[in-house]
Amino acid sequence: MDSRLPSVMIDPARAVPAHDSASIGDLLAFERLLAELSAGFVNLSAASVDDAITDALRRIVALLDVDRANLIGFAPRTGESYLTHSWTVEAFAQAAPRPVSGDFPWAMQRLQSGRPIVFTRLGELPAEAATDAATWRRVGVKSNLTVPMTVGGRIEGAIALAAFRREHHWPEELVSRLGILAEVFGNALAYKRAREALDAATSFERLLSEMLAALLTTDRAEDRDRVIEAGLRDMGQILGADGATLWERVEDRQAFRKTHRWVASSLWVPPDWADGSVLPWIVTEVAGGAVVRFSGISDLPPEAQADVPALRSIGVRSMMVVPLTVSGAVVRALCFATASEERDFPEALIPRVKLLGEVLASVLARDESHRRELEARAQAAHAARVGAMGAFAASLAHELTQPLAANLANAETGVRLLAAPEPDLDELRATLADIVADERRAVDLVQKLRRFLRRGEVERGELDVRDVLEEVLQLVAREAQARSVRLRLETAQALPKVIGDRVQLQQVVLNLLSNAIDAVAAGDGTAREVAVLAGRCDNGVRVEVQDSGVGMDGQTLARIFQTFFTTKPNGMGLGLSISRTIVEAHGGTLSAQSAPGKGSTFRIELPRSAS
Amino acid sequence: MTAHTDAAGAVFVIDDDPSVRRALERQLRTAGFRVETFASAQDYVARAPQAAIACIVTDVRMPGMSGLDLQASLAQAGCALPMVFITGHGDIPTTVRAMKGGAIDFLSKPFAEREILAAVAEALERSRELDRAREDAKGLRARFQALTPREREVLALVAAGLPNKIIADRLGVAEATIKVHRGRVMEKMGAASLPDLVRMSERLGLEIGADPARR
Repeated sequence: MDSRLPSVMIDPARAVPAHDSASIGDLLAFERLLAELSAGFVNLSAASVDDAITDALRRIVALLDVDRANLIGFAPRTGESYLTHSWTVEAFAQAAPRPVSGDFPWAMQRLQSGRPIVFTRLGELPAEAATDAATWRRVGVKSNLTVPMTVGGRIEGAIALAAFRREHHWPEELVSRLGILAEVFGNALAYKRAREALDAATSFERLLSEMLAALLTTDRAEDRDRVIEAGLRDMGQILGADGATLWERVEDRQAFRKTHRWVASSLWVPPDWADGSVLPWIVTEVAGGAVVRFSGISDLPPEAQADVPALRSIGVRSMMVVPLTVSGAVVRALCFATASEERDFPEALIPRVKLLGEVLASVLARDESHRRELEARAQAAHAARVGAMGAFAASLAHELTQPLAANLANAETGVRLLAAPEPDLDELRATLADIVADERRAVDLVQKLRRFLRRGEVERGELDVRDVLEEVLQLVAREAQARSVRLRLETAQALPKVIGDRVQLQQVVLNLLSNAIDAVAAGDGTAREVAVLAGRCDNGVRVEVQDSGVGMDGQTLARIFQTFFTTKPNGMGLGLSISRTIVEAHGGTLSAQSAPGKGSTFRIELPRSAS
Repeated sequence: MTAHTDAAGAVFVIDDDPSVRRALERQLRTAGFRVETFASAQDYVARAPQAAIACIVTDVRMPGMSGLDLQASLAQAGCALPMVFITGHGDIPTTVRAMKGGAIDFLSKPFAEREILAAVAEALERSRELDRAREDAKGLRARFQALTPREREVLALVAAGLPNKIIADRLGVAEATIKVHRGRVMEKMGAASLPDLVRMSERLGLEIGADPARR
């Protein structure tokens, strides 16, 4: 039986001669029926409640010789009435014009205040019941007895008996007995609802374990999508929704976007977007972590009125949106909606829906992190190349140390030999020959490095200078902080792109930055700052690395780009020399300005890319 | 510049780089040291060069056995020589390990002549001290060997601080006899005084307070 038909209280009938008052025998028989039904409903399973009620209505109709018995429910919030069960004698079983609850204003008010409606003929109705009387007349009701149905002290509906063929007298005892019967029905229905909620909860738990198993065994994203869509279908069906949608939060604006969906039929498809501009209240609530739930548009609170036009145009009648939180943030939401009818999504199921949804969201977040991992791996490959250059430089430094150490030893030996009264010329000759050989060896190594820098490993591409600089600043940020040196990056808007090898240019900037940090750290200046400034220059982009460090005198400045010239105790004298090689290989220039105590500025100029 | 004679000691240079080896050999040789070079630590171990006074100048990182491995292995074999480490890329943990192992110095390549010459001179001086100590111990042992068994017993008891009377009781002889033994022990050991004799017995590792008579 469809329990969701629009309100019907009484169906049409033809006029039939009045019936005599119910006899004592009738009452006794009703008493027996009542006792029998009360006993029978006690051990009833939830599944047979509906049939038992309909059967009871049939027996009441037969026993009392009336034409129709209806069980009516009142919607919890709106108070609107709807037919839950009905039995009509065969002669009147035909469909007839359906009255709506607005057609019985007096009767509804009376029932909801707990009073019965009893009339043998329409003429007994008071003047204020004129609308109701007109409706009854129109549908052909001659006599009517309607008693409120109380469940746990609350009026949840009514049981109505109607006579179409003839007028019917309703003894007072019948009115009270019918009230008791209504309560029996009400309790049975409450039990059935509780039972169904429990079943739904159990179904959810089963669904959760099934989905978990399915998700754990699927690795491919498309398989996972199928599992999620099946999960939405199952949840939607358990909840009686017309559509179930998994939304993801759109980061840069107040909105949610569909990622997965199930629809009961193609007749109604929920929209792909829930945008804050058309559904401000819902989106704000859900984004803030609150559940949105309404069984009818009229249930929405006043602050949600801005959403009503959009909901109406979409065709939503009932809705439940559960925010899904992963690592403390609302990243997704599950939305269940109906368009065909109003539905009360049970509050008790929200925690389960949330749990299931969050399992889905976590799985999807894992996919997302997998994608991010791939990106990170690409970045790591880039970093590895930078590292490889570093390792190459380190091994080269070690190799270079050998001839340099040998040369220093030989040179100092030579000086000492010459100081002797009679210098050993053979020894001196051998010493100088060794020095020449080792010098050649050192030069070869440096050329090897230069070749490495110019080799195919060079990856040229169009570069955004700002990106290049930001990455390098990140690299040295920790070291700078540890040495109490502040780093500042200033770049002009819309710098032209340059063509070059990202890694090599980063090596250059890295080298200049480390030198600058060393210079600042060595000084006692109060302005412990290194500034990296990027802007336009005549033919492209200029990058300046400025430090407020110890600075250099003119003599030092003149030599800093020479290979093996260094002022650092452990320096190799290679950094600036190689840096200049790299910049020149890019068609640019690297120059320096400095004054002792005033700091230094190194300036790179790179030509803009032709495009 | 101090002139060094051959007797001043030998310097064993170990480096896998031929240029460095040649240059160091020349530098140290022309500065007056007797120098022997080795292309690897294994080469050094295999040739096991002998010299009363000597030191090792070795590279840290070499193919096969490293300088630190050599240091550990020589110490274990009981033939440790003072060592000077030279390295192309000195890192702190390596330096610490080498110094803890008794290294004289740890020099980063390239190094100045005065640094290497000072380090080598110091290493040889250490070797000389060790040699002296070794010679002293050797003489002491020889002198101890020359004592009769009874004189050794007397030495141990005297070193333990016992008076002649007690020693006589212990050994069951007359006090006068102990006096004679004691005089002979002092003479044979070349001890100038009683404290001198006690120090000698300590260096010999005699068990003080032991009772040789009951052994």
